[in-house]
Amino acid sequence: MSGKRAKTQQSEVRSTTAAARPAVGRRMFAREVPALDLSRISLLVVNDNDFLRSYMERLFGIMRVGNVATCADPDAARAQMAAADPDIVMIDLDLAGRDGIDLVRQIRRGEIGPRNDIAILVTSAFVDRDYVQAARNNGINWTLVKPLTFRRLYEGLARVILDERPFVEAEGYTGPDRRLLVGISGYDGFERRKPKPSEPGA
Amino acid sequence: MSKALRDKVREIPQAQLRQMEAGASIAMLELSASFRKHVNDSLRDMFTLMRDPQPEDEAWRARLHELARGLQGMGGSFDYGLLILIGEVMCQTVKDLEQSNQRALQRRLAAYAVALDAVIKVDLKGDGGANGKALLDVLKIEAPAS
Repeated sequence: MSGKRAKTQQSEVRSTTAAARPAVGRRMFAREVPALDLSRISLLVVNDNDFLRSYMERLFGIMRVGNVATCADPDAARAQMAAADPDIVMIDLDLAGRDGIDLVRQIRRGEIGPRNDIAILVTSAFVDRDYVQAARNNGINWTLVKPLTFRRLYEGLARVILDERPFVEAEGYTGPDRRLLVGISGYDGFERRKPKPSEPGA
Repeated sequence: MSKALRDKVREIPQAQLRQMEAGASIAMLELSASFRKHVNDSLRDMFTLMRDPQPEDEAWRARLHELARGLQGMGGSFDYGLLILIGEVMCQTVKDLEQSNQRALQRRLAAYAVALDAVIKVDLKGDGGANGKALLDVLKIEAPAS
């Protein structure tokens, strides 16, 4: 087995240890969204529609999000990323399309912005469109399906903030673990990338 | 990623979230009125452009593209999924006009504009149900499953 392959199998995984408990515990919130103080959260919204940017700023203001920066397209986002240093980036894929996916890929590759592990939330009216699936495979945290109501936006923020999935940095993928159930109800998932006991390097 | 992010938030009483939601409901009423005004203004400008088609004029095409894209963007946030689909196809058709100034393309653009107007006037929210499907069939637009 080549060293490169071994590195892929033992991909670096950043995860929260039991000793480092989060300020807010993880939970599934199908019925009740946890109420969170978002005043220390910084958000960058990428949307090329003036009206929608105002709409989102208004709703995020009501949620008391600490800092909301907006930009009209992925190019503007690339330029603003370092200065804005957002905790969460929200991209409208219906408008940005492939450009939005390129932005996701660049963030995950560490080509723009101070960190490659920023939470990335994308919005779309259609969950099965090719670009939404491509966005998932390029490392987004969550897809918000429109219409973007107050509650849906709030749930989206809460979901990515409370997302405890490990951050995976492997040869072919960088982003949150795509197995959504990892860590819930004792399910640890099937560790495909870990060498099996019978394999060299185990 | 997530621990640093989670450490930035703290849980607050649910009552505060309910207060925010109440505030958002009022804001949404204002925003809905603003949305309708934006959409109607855009449709009016679109029909003005379509009355005097100048497909060879780059500025004309750019303005039409801008209007279609604006309607596409606004539609999704207020649950008018058909505005996204039709707006997207309209944007592509405007781009196609750069390559080939066919009258067939102009007729399709006119049909898309009328369809966008119908979606708002008939208030076809979401996928529009059977009426939405019929509209997309007429326009020969394939709807992705939502």
